[in-house]
Parts: sequence; C-alpha cells; structure tokens
Amino acid sequence: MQLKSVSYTFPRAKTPFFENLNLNLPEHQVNFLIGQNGAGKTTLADILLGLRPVTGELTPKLSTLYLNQKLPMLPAIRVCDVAALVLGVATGRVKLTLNDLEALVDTPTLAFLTPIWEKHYSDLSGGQQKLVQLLLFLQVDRDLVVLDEPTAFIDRQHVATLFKVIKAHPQRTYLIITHDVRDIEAFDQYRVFWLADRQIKQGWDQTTFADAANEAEFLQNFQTV
Amino acid sequence: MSKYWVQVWLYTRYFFKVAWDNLGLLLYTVALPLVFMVLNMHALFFKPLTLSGFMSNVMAFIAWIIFSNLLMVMADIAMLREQGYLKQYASLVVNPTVFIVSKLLVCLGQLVVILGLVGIACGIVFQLSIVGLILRLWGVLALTTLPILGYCLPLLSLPVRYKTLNAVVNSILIIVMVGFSAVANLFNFSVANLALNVLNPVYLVLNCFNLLINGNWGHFLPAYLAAFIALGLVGVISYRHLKLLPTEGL
Repeated sequence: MQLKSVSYTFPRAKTPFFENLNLNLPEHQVNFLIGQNGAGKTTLADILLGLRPVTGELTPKLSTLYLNQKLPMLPAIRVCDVAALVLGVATGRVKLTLNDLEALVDTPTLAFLTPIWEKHYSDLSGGQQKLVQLLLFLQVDRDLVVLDEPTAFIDRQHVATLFKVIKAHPQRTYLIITHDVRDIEAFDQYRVFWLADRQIKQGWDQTTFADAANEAEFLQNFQTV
Repeated sequence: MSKYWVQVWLYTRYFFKVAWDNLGLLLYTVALPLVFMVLNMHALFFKPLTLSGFMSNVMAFIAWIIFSNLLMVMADIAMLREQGYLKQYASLVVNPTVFIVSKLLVCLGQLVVILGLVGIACGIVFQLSIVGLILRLWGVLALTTLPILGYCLPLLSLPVRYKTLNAVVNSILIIVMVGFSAVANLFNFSVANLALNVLNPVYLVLNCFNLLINGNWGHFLPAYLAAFIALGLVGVISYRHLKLLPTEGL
C-alpha cells in the first residue's frame, strides 16, 4: 500500500499536520509504526483506513479492519455474545455455539475462548477482556489490519497468543502501532517505520533495525527493554 | 436475508441484551415524565376524560417519553463514538446505518411496551377505552418515529465530546419541553403550522394524536408531509456528515 504526497489538515487548523507524507507499506507482512506520543501515529492509521479526508494518493484501496488501543467494554455482556456478534457479522451466521467455533476460528483463538465462553466480561481481567476482542476481530478477513497498541495492558503470555494468531493469517497486511520493542522482536520478518517531525523519517527491516539505535535518542530508548 | 439485515439482526439482539442490563436509563426517559404527569394531573385521576382532554393534558408527557427515548438512541451512538467503539466496529459492518437501525429497533421495541403499559394505566385512571388509547399511542409512534429520528440525527454529525454529551442532550430536552410549554401558554397556533411541527417534536406528537382522534387528514396532512420531508432531509444531511472518529483528539 502506498501513500504519495499525502497532506492532512485537522478540522479548524490553519496549517496541515501532515504535508507531502510518503509511505510504502509492504503487503502480506507485519509492519510496525513507532514514534513519540503525539507524533500522529493514530492519525496516520486513520488516514490509511480512509477515515480522514486527505489530498494526495492512497493506493490500492484495500478492505480494512481497525483495532482500537482502548477497547470499549460492556461488563454485562458474555464472551459468547461478543463472539456471536463479531463472528456472526463476519460470516453471516445468526446463531453460534461453542461447537461451531472450531470451524470458524484458528487454533490459538479456540484454545483461548473455550474455557471462558460463558463468562461475563466483568468476570475477566482487563487483559483478558482486551484479548477476547482482539482475537475475535482477527478472525475477520480483511486486506489491511491496523492494530493500535494491541499489547498495552496485556501480559507477555497473552501477547504471545495474540502474535500466534497474527502469524496464523500471513496473507494479510498488518500495521501495528507499538511502544514496545519486544513486540517487534517477536517476529522474524517485518518492517519498522519511524514517524517523527510529521514525516516517515526512516524505515528498517529485520536485518537493519538493530543498528537504528545509533540514529536518535528516541530509538535508543525504544530499543531498551 | 441480505448481509446488511443479518448484521442488523445480530446488532439488534446484542443491543437488546445491553439495554436489558441498563434498565436504569428508563428512570430518566420514562419514570421522570410519568412522575411529572402524576404531579400535574392527579386532580383528574379516576374522573372521565375525553380524548381531546387527554391530548391537551397528558399527551405532552407521552411526547416527552417518545422524544427522550429517541434522543437517547442518538446520544448512545455518540457515546459509542467518543469511546472509540464506532471507529472500530464500523470497520466490521457493511455501513454505519447498521448501528443506527439496530439501536432504533431496540428503542422502538421498548417504546411499544412502554406506551402499551402507559396506555393501560391512563385508560384506567382517565376512564378511557384502553384498546383505543393504546392503538392511538402506537399509531402516533409509527407516524412520528422517522421525523423525530431526523430531528435527533444532527447529534451524530456534531463534534460533541464525551464529557459534554450529557449536558447537550439535557439542554435539547429542556429547550424542547420548556419551548413547547411557553408557546402553548402564550399562543394558539394551528395544527397546520409547519414551523412548530418541524422545530418542536412535542407539537408533532400532539398533532398526530389529534389526527388519530379526529381523522381530519385534509387539515393536517400537508403540514405532516412537509415536516416529514424537512426532518427527513435534516436526517439525511446529518448522516452524510456522520462522524465516526471521537471528537477528543481531533
């Protein structure tokens, strides 16, 4: 996916936030977007999702899925209700039981959902609540999947489950916004884009990312676990 | 069933579960108007009241119930937008009208039950035909739902923040109810007055009830159709400017 000379101005702002921004997002692989707080990572994700009106070129037009950094929770709802909604919308099934699940989801998701199927959201930990929605949404087939800080508030064991699910669907293009270098290290093949000064300042692949620490203080701190 | 209607069905079922768990909201949209009605109307209880008398004295409170519930549908969706829910779930569905239609169906289901119960209670205390009253209240609901929805839809196209949403919704409710009361006390406008039917949903509800009592279609129909079209246009324009992104951080 390519962004060519893209400019975006916030409503009521006088000057553009992004001006002549270029990004070449390799398809069918995991990509990471890093940058300081306020750098515009979520705004850039919105642009890729077609949610903000921009000038410039955005090609090709892909089907997209977005996962929020703070997933809204409805405490009274059970895991099976959320599954029936998300998988029902994705597959067109109006009824869903635990027995149907095996045919609809990948193995790590099935293993995670089965023991908590009847539980209310309020009975789950914050990390489990977030993971339920993340894993369910990742069963929905889209060309481009944007995950905004998906590992925040999740323990590393559950992060490993999340990444297993991502790896189980390699045909998609992923853009993962993260502040945690461990997320990047969990993948063998990837591309990292650094957003700074309202531009994609640099991009690295798995072979060159380790050397990036020498280039700026932010990158040095980012690479420190 | 098409993909769209499957999604509407799934969301309607889901929102019904959410609404069932959040019955406290009905205190605000149903109990409050009923309490005010009892406080104002108790002198008329258990005395025969004509349908015209019912319209003059009681229907404003029922209009309040209908309007506040439909306004809360939009407020709920705006709340979901501000929580980031709409942005995420919009990437899942065919288009965002799935949320609006599903929420509306849940609200209509609740209003059918509420108006049925209110009709039974009012039929008893005002000694009116219960069946006739309930059918007329449901008829009013059928006639006014879409125009009132158009009236409330701008809430979804305005950049209202999470913290100010409740204040905005309360202000709209107060302006509509106090505005109705002030105009009703000071002037005697015709039911065919287009501006009032468009600007104040309470008038529209009252006039539709009046239509179902008198059957005087010729007098009110042009004003009703004009209000229907005008508020429908407001709704369509608002939907075209629907905001999916939270206002916070824009």
